Formats: sequence, C-alpha cells, structure tokens
Amino acid sequence: MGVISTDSPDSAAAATARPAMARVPLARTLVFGAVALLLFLLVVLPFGWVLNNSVHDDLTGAWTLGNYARIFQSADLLEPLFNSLLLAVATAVIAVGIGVPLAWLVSRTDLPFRRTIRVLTLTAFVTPSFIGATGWILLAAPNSGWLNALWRSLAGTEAGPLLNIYSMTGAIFICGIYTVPYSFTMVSSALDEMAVELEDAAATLGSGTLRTMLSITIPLVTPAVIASFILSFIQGLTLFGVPAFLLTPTGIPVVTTKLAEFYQLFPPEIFLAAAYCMPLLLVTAMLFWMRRRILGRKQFVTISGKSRAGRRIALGAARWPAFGAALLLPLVSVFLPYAALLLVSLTRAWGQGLSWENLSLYWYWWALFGNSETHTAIVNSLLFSTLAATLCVMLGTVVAYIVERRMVFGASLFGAVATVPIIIPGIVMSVGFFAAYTRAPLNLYGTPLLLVAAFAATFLPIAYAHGGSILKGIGPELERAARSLGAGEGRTFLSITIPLMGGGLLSGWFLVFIPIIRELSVAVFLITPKTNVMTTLIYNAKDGGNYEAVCAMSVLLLLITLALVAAAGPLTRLTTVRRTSRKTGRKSAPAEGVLPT
Amino acid sequence: MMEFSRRRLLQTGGLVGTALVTGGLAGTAFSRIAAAADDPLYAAARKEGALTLYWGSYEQQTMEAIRDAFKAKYPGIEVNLLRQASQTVYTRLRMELQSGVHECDSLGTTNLLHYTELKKIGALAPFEPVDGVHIPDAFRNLDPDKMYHVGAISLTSINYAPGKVQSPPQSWQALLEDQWQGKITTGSPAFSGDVANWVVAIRRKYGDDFLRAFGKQKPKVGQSNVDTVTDILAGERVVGSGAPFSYTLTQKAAGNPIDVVAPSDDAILNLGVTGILAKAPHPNAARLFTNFLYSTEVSMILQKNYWPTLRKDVPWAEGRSLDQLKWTRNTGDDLGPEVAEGIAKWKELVR
Amino acid sequence: MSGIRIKNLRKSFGAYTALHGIDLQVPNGTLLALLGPSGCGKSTTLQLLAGFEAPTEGEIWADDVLLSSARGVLPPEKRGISLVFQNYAVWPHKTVAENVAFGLAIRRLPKAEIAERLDRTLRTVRLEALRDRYPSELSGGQQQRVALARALAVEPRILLLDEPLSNLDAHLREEMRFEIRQVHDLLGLTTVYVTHDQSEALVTADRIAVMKSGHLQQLGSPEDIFERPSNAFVATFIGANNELAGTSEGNGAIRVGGHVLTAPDRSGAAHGGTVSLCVRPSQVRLFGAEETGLPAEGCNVLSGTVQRSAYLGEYRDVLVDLGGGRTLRAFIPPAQSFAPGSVVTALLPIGSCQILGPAA
Repeated sequence: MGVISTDSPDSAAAATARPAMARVPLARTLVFGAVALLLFLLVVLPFGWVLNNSVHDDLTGAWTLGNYARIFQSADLLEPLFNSLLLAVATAVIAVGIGVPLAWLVSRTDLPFRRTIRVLTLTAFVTPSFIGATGWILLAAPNSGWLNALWRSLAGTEAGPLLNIYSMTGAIFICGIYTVPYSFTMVSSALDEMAVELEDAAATLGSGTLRTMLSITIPLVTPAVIASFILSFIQGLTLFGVPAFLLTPTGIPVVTTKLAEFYQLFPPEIFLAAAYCMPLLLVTAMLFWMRRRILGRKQFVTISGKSRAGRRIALGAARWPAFGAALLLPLVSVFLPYAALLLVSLTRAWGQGLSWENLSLYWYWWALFGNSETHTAIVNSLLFSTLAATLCVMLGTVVAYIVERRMVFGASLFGAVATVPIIIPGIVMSVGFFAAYTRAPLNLYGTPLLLVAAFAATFLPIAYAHGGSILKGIGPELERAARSLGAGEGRTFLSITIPLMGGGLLSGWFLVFIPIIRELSVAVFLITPKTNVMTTLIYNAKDGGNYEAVCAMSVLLLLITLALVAAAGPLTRLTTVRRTSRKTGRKSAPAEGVLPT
Repeated sequence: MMEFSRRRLLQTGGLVGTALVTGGLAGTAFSRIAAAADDPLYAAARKEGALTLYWGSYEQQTMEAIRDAFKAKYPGIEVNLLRQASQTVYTRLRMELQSGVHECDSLGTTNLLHYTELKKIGALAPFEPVDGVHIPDAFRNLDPDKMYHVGAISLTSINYAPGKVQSPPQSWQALLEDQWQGKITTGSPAFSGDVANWVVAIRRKYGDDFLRAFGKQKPKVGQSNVDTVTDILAGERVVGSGAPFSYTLTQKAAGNPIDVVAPSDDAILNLGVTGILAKAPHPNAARLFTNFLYSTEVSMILQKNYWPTLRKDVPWAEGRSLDQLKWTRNTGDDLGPEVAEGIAKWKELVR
Repeated sequence: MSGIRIKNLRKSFGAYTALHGIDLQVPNGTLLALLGPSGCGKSTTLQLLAGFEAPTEGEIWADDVLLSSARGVLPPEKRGISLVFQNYAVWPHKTVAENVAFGLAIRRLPKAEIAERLDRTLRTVRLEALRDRYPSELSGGQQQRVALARALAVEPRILLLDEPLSNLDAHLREEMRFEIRQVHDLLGLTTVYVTHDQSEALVTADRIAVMKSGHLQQLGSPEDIFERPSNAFVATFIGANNELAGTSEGNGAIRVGGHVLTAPDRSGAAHGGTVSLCVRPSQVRLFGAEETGLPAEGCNVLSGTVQRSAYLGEYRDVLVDLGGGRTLRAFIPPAQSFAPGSVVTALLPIGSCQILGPAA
C-alpha cells in the first residue's frame, strides 16, 4: 500500500523462489542433531522410564494410576510434600537473601579480602550438606552441642539449650547456608559482567550506594537472581542428608526421607517413589513458568560492548563492617562445622573427647592407605566429575544458547528438557538410568560412561541455568556483528560468545563439578565395584557409624576440591576476558572527535 | 596373632572333620595355598577367574577383611565387592534380574524376606557348603532346599554411656522407667531393618502398650540403629534402644566410652542371609566363597570385629557366645506384613 | 557492490504485523535513509536485510541474487552485508585491531593482505593510533568508528547502519554525519541507513524512504521528500509543517472549517474525502488585522489570534489560533512582532500549499 512504490524487481522471478544457499547447512544439522540426541539419551530416556515406572504397580507390575491416587488420598503422603515445600521456599529465601548481597559485595565493591570470601564461599559449596549437618549436630545438638555447652557454662547449667539443630528451623538454616554458594556464584558472575555505567547513572541522580544496589544493580541481574532462587528451591526440595539427619529425629517427614522409606520397604516401592516425585516436578514447572512471566516483559541485556569494567564501588566507612558481615557465612558454613569435623577426625576415638592421648592422625592414614578402595575411589571421583562437569557445561551452554537465541523452532522445549533432571531426586533418577541403560542396544551398565552420563544429566539444569543467565547479559548484537562480517553460527559462538562468557563458564564448570563430586544418590544403583566413588565410601563409613572416618574423608574431600579450585585460580585469570590493555592505562583516555572533516 | 590362635584352635581338635574337603586349615600360608590348589571347586572357580559379591551384611571394614582373606587364600580369583546397604543391594539385584542383567554371584543381605522372595521366582541356586556343619545348630539348614544360608548374625540390644549411667536398664521393660525419659536414643524402623525387627519382636512380646509407653519416653529417633552410638558418644543421649550389639562393642574397643547390655527379656537376633544366584556368571567362585564364609578364617575376622562368629567352634570376642545370651528371633512366614504393621504402629504411637 | 530490491516485504510476529508489504529499490552505490518514528518498521526492515529475520512474505534481492524469501533466508554470514549497530556492539574482549581484522580473518585472507587492509581501514576512520586499545578505553565516538571500520574492512557489497549516531552526543553526532557521508563518497557502497532523525537523513542520504506503521509512505530524494511530500504524515515528519485537516471540495479546493482554501491537490482524494492542507511555517506571512492593501493575490487568507510568540534570533516562531481548535505556525522575520492576543491575518501562498491525503 505504499503511496509511492518502486518498480517491482523482475516480476518474472518466481514468487516461491528460495535463496540459493538458504538450505540448512550440514554443520548446523549435525550440532542440533547431536544436542537433541544427547538430551534424549541423558534426560528423556531415563526420565521416560521414571514416568513409565510411576504408572505401574510395584507388586504386580501392571499399568495403574493407583500410585498417584495414593499420594493424593493419604495424609501420610501429603504432609511430607508440604513440609518439603516449606523447607524449599525457606531455603531459597535464605540462599538469595544472603547470596545476592554477598555477591554484590564481592563483585562490585572494594570489600577487603574479596578473593578470600569467594574461596570460603566455594568451600561451603564443596561441603556435602550431610557433612555440614553432621558438623552442626556436633555444634548445636540440644544436649551435647558444643555451642550449647558453651552457653550453659555462661548461663548456668539449668539453662535450656540455646540452639536446637533438630528442628525445622535448624534444617532450614543448614539447607540455606549450604545453598548460598549457588546464588552467590550465579549472581556474582552476572554482576562481574555488568557495565558500571548503569550504576554510575543512578549515582549521578543522587542515589546512594545501597539504594543503587537495591534499585539498579540487583534488578539488572534479575535473571541470575531468579535462576538461583529456583535452583536453591530445588535444592531444598531434593536434599536428603539434611532432613534425614535433622528432621527425622523430630518426626518431621519430607519428600526425600519419605522416598528413602519407600526404598527401604519390603518389597521396595520403587514405582510409588517415581510417582511421588511428580508433584515436585509440577511445582518446579510452575516456578519456571513464573520466571518466564517475570522476565518476559523486560530486557536484560547488559553487556553491549561498552562496559568499563574494573572500577569498584567504594564502601567507605562501611568497608570493614561489611567485611565482618561477609565473614558470617563462612563462619557458620565452614569454620565452625569444619572445626568440629576436624577435631573429630583427629581423635582416635571421638567419644573420649579431646585429650592429647586421644589425638591421632590414624583416620587420615586409614582413609588414604588403610582402606584399599580409597585410591580407586578418589581417582574415580576426580575423573568422573571432571568428565561429567565438562560434558555438562558444554551441553548446558549450547542448550542455553539455542534457547536464549531461539535458534530453532521449539527451542524452549530443549530448555524444559534440560531442566527436568534436577527436580527428580537422585535415587529415583538412578532407577531411571538403570532401566534405560541395562538393555540393548544401549547396555552401558557397569561402565564408567553410565556414571558420567548420570552425573552430567543430574546437574545439566545448573549448567543450563547458569549458561542462560550469562547469555542473558550478552547483547545479541555482539554476535550479530560477527555474523554480518561473515562468521557462521558456530564460529560466532566459539570466537565471540564463548570468550565473552569467559570466567562465567569456568565458574559454571565448578558450579557443576563440585556438586557432582559430592553427589551420592544418583550413583547408588549405577556404581560397580570398579567404578566406586568417594561419596559411596563416605556414606558406607557413615552407615557403619564410623564418624572419625567420615570426618577424615570429608576433610580430605574438601582439601582435594580446594586444591583444584586453587589450581584453577591462574586458569580463571587466563580465561577471564581481558578488558584493558596493559600498555595503555585507562588514564590516557584520548580526547574525542579527533577527526577533522 | 591369628596364626597362633588358629594353631591353638587346631590343637583343640574341633575342626578335624572338615579338613578333608577344604584342606584350607593347614598351618602356613604356603601349605594353605597348596592345599587349596588341590580343591576341585577352587580349580573350577579359578577357571572362572572372578567373583562378584553384592553384600549389605557387615560394615565396609569387616567385609573388606573377609574379601582380602578370600583373595589371599584363593589367588587367581578377582573379587569385585559391591558393599551397599542391604535394601539397596537387593533393590538393585531385583532391577538387574528384571533387565536380564546377571552380574551378581553371591548376595548377602540382612533380610530373610529377600531370599524367600528370590527363591519364589527361581533366582537362587541350591548349594550345600561342606563347612556348613560348623554353623551354630539354631541357624543351620535355614532353607530345606539349601537355596540360602546364614551369612551374618546380628544382635539388637541396649547400649549406654558408662560414665553417665550408674546402672543401665537391664531389660526392654526397664527402658520404660521414668528415669530414662528424654534420655533414650533409637533408630527408626522405617529406615533400619534391625530396628523394624526389634519393633516386631517387642510387639510380639508386649503388644502396642510397649510402643505407647516408649513413645512417652520421648526418645530421639535417628535413622539407622548406628545413630544410637553416635548420640551416646556425642553426649546427646545416654541410653540407646534397639542398638547394634557388635558395633557398640567395636566402638568400645576403639576406646570410646560406651557399652552394651544384653536385655534380660531377650536380645533380638536378626539373621543376615546369603545365597548364590541361579544365573551367577561365576557359580563355582560363588560356591567357593559361600563355603569360605564358614571357614575358621572368616570367623576369626568376625571375632576380631566383634561380630558373632559363624562357627560353633570359634568363640565371639571377649569370650562371649550365643549360649550366654537370652535371645529371640522373629520367625514366621508372614513377617513382611508384620513389619509394615509395626512401622505403621510406630508412627502412630512413638512419633 | 550491488543494488537492493525489496519486493512486497511482509513481516508478522504472531498477530502483530510489523511490515505490510514494502517495495523498495536501492540502486547500486546509493545511500538510502530509512526514516520514520519508532515502531514504523525500519529496524525490522534492516534485520530482514541483514538476514537475522525471515520474511513472512516477499523477497529481498541483491542484484540478481535472492537473499530472502518466505521459503528461506541466506544466512547473514553469506550475504556480504555489513551491519553497524546502534550501540556499536564492539567486542570488549578484542582490541581495536582485533575487532577490525575479525572479518578478514574469517575470510582466510593471506596475512599480508589482512595487515594491509586493516591498516587501510583504520586509516580511513583515523584509528591507527588506537589500534591496540580495548574498547573500554575508547570514547563513544571512537567505538562507533571501530564499529564502522569493522564493517568496512570486509569490503561488503552492502552496508547497513542502524541508528549509528543516536548514542553519541549532539556535537559528535553532527560531525559523524558528515564523516559517514564522506566514507560513502569515498567507497561508493550501497548503504542503508536507519534513523528517526530527519535532519540526519537529509544530510547523509541520496534517497530517503519514509515509513510509518509498517507502510512505506514515500521514497524519493531529500528534495522530493521535503518539497513534495506524498502525504500529510511525511510533510509533518520532515521539517516543520502546518497541517489543517478538512474535506476535499474537488478541483484543488479544501474545506477547512468555514473556509474553502485552494492549493495544488496531490491527495488524489474524491470530493468529500479526508484531506489536509499543508504549508511550511516559513511560507506563512502574517499581518496585523488593521493593515490594508495586503499582497493577498494568489494566497489563501485566514485570520486568527496570536497565542504565543517566541524570538529565535533568525526568526520569530508565532502560533496563531484560528478558532475551532485549529492553530497555525508561522516563522516571520524577527523585525515583525505581534503581542499575544493581537488579531492577525495570515497569508498562505497557494503555490506553497499542498492538499495531501492522510498517511498510508
């Protein structure tokens, strides 16, 4: 309907013409095919089995909806669901409430000892939460807890316990502090990439530091905040160790402890357990739907090639008080519980209490040399975790990229698929993997590959969510610029997107590596004598009540992981994108408009 | 030490009858191997070259010692030990059977029901270990068809902190006295087979009234019965109910301030059971291992780790024996539903 | 280098149609400005040209190569079309030289040639001295030149500029306008320049395409667009304009309120159709109501009350209330002066008036 239109170009050209090279290139087909295939193998197939299990009867194996009916008809099965939801929401609130300000302090301000805080937070991350719970039982059990003993020595022996770790509050506290590292890492890597000008803009409008943080900085990293909220929520839903240790003694059932009971029954109610996970899936799906609603309307593209990284917000007089506050998390999640664990691990017999005679490195000797399986288990743990984390981050990043850039029709389906595994508690997923890979043509049972696949699949959602939140911060025009200069999709991804994701990718790798190395339950039906891992041994020691060994092995696991993280330090600096040239300092910012016309 | 005791035992002459077949009890390692090599079962097992154990009975340390002794006695057989909780091991085995995977040769778990179930579906192979004659009479011929045999004996008792408790409760009934209110720790029957077994036995003895009164004592309910030891050592509670007899003694021996009481109204005995899979990939190795379980070596290992031995002629640690104890064992064909009922009642009455 | 032909280009996003069938031709070597308010479809057109979006209908040709149709899109990297973004999109992890050389490396050119072309391009935009800097160490204008250099280095057959100056300050913007024109004159690239700023379009473009609501309003030279707008929207969007709405009386006449005014009729509207009388404020002359002997010959005559008057140095901007809710703006010589409230007569030379239809 143009008022003036130009002459139509040769009208002879067929209206259905197709550009000569517009057919889908082979490489693209291969990549998408590989991603789809991997998602199918890692998620759809095992999850399909879980789904299939959930509609079969444990006794007869016949098709039934009875499992679902049982869940919704029995108060005994509904109560744990509500308790789990409470635990999950509270965990997520704590994780975000602490993790986000902490991330801001470390990433954006001139907080002293930032790197130390970062490492300490990672240390909390390395700690399997059941180990953390064990440490806190030593500290805050109502009668014997050391902190309570200290309290009584101050307040008199008649005083009631100051803390009771065996309570919902206690479980929330433990789940919360050991989930903070998720929100911290995700949000801080988003903040690391954010342009300073956006904060400067607010500052020039007279907004104070705190105000700027609350109303500009944090909202700008909303995608990461929401992603970490959801992940923390899922953690709260799916953790087993903490509620098993802290809530069982007070008779508060949650979904995971209930699941453990299903497996403990004779005969085990595996199929009921599968069905019992589905409400969790539903709740989490709702969370993701809400996330779409929240993020859908806003644009959160923050890197646009103009960022002036490197400058930090001066906290001024608040610098040291802020440091004190930032130390609180490491204090409760690392120092205190590990002090307890370390003391126990250094006693020959911990029931004797602390004395010089009782002091011994025996359990370390035992963990390293006395136990013939430890060597294999340590090597296996490191090897499988490395392979699985690498596979996981690669796949998660590519899926996140496909979804974020909507590269194919139905891309969001890829994302949905990549999100499923984390919601299914490990032991149930373990059964799914078992069912999927013990039959032809994909009989991988007994191979390390199966463990690697299961680990990668379980934590794929983290890699995917993390990748997505980094990508949300990278303006698509940075990639489009490369495309228009002749770089194909693959080349653009490798030479523009990946370097821009930079340090975020490495932190993403640790974000999955660490939970993998401490993961137990998904491995439970998949490990074999030859593919045993550290956590199985630790759990066996715990199962056998050998607390000194548990503590010693936990401390070792922590040290190994920390050594890795430390070794990765230089790597981080290498991979983190260099944004300033060494030769020319920023001081010599040149005058504008050099060009005469 | 072990060599010495073995020789001493040999001298007592209690073992003569069996030496004929296994030939495994000669004095030195060399002659042991030499003798073992003549054993046709060993020869067959060696041809198979490997053995896979799925075991939940005994904790990691003891199980590894048994494995290592087996390897020392029968070189040339690679032993793959999968030690996980009994129910996990069983669940995995059932899934393997459903998928037609045959990895496991010898199964050892703490629940007799596993074996009656496996027998029903024809998954077990009969075998009569020659050394089975040494098994205490009460546990011999567990299955008339020889599909399964005793693999471990585990006792559930009372444990306590000696320093904090002057006179510990001497019976289950005594646990209901007022003085123990808020002082008891126990495992959960929903998580621990041993505790479930205890609940069944207690209900048979004293009915639900006991559970009701027990609930009023406000016990701290952990998961495993091992948690009782943890709570006592930590000082959180001072008396443990449904507590593991052997494990408590191990901890005591390690120097921890803890001890056991065998209740006058019966320690609850639970049998660990073992069987050979019908489609075991290494059936001869499995047979060899099953027979080995009843060897003096294994019983010595058990003695050393404070487990009840599997031989009449090897006493328990600290000179204890089955005869000195009052004990009872839950028997009957309907144990499954009874366990489920016990758990339900526990949840209703205790917490 | 090649010309662009766009045939009946349509683009819908779900229920929303961003482009309603655009036909456009950009001859080889021409600088075309796509001009319009935000939401007019100019950016969508650019994305379609660059190959980041697939058309719902229609075709895009570069000479005789079909680039896009509803059946498929030649991927951006195969088009030989360079794009300069509004926010520069200079890669923060690469130096100036690395940014500019990226496209050359992609083409696997010999090292010597890359170096040579890199130098030449940097010289063109005068960034030689800053070649080892990272973007964070550059000013906005310098970053924009990096983006331009990066796009030019690969010697594209078509250059697309997406509001390239809107993030710069006013002073720099004016300078860069000329610079872009200069580069264009130097290289003779077929260029499509998206902007919402009419003066930017007038300064830089050979041809201007004015768009609104996904429709092409007019395509023509800057002079055509300014002097002979095809409709009232174009007239108002380009430069200052008075638009008096009315109905067509036929034969070059329009009824505005109680008046019948005459003007060259370019609306093509039938008798009674909705049309507007358009006249630039600079063409309107004002006289005091008491003045007589006005040069009213060949003029439409209206009277009204001065509502406000602003002194702008070179002229006065006077707003006259014509009654009935209509107003008329006039730029009059600064020597003339009317106080608000004074009654004036306005002369609208018929030759400067046009009767135009509404926007398409």
